[in-house]
Amino acid sequence: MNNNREETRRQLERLADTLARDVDQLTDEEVLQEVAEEHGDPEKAALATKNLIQEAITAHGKRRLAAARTAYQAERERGGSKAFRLSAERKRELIDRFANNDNQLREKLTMAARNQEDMEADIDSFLEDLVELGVIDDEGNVR
Amino acid sequence: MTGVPRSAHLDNAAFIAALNALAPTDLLRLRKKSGFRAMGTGMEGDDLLNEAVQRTLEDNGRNCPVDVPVAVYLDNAMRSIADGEREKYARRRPVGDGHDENSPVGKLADGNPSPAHAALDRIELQRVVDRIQEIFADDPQAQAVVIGDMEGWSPEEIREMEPMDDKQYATARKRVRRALEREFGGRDQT
Repeated sequence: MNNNREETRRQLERLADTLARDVDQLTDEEVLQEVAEEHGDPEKAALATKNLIQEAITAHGKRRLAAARTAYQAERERGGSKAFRLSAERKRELIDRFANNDNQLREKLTMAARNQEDMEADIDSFLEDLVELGVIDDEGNVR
Repeated sequence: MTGVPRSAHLDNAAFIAALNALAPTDLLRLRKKSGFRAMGTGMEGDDLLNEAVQRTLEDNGRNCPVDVPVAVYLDNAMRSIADGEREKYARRRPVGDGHDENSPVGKLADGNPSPAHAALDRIELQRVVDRIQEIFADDPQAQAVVIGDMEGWSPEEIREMEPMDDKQYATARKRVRRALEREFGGRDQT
């Protein structure tokens, strides 16, 4: 038999293909009978395989959740969009620009200023909306 | 004529629903096949099946076409993953030159395998083949079937090598399949 590993790889692939084809040609009754002989209760064996697949689905879900958490954490550490790292003055300029065309926003800002409220969280939220809507880019530039 | 676009594939929810709808005999067939597909990969059949499912669920992973039964798709996915694993091994340790990086073959070899693949170094493809033949050392009919399958021979060619009637050939094939399932099959199935 050829010792070349590449050929050995192909030999194993051909053998697996033939054996898999043999399995496909078994009737359902033959499958159940073989499994009963080798492993006992076929229902339990089928359930074990179902559980194996479920484990894979669960593992994927956990990995995805972990990745989302990592991304969220990284985003928080990065300070979110660059627009939120602008100076207070630049943020105010941006807000004023949009407030000129938005009576409701202008009134809210006027009231807040009058009451000396801290509007920073609201401003960031408004900028976040603008970035999401594509009105401004990540750096606060109007599109 | 209307039909399914070639690119159409199941999204994750539909794929999971299709997995959950697999019949018990489909599940049992898949489990049997996973052991065969895993031969020479350094993986167990169960891990290969798990990998095929997970890679399909990944955002940029494999796709299950809507017009292919999920059991058929999973077998094909296991086949492809297994082949990739064997190929990595074959490239990492080329034959005959002691992994000389200046040789034509050595240039293709990955001399610095990732830790994730380091375990594969323990696997020796030829030893797997030797082990398979060793199992049937006292059974010339089964050995002829194994060698013939590995070489891609037809049933007639196999029976030329080792004369067998139809029934003997069928039972020799069955002996091979069941012995290799015991050797390479997954973990406890109950």
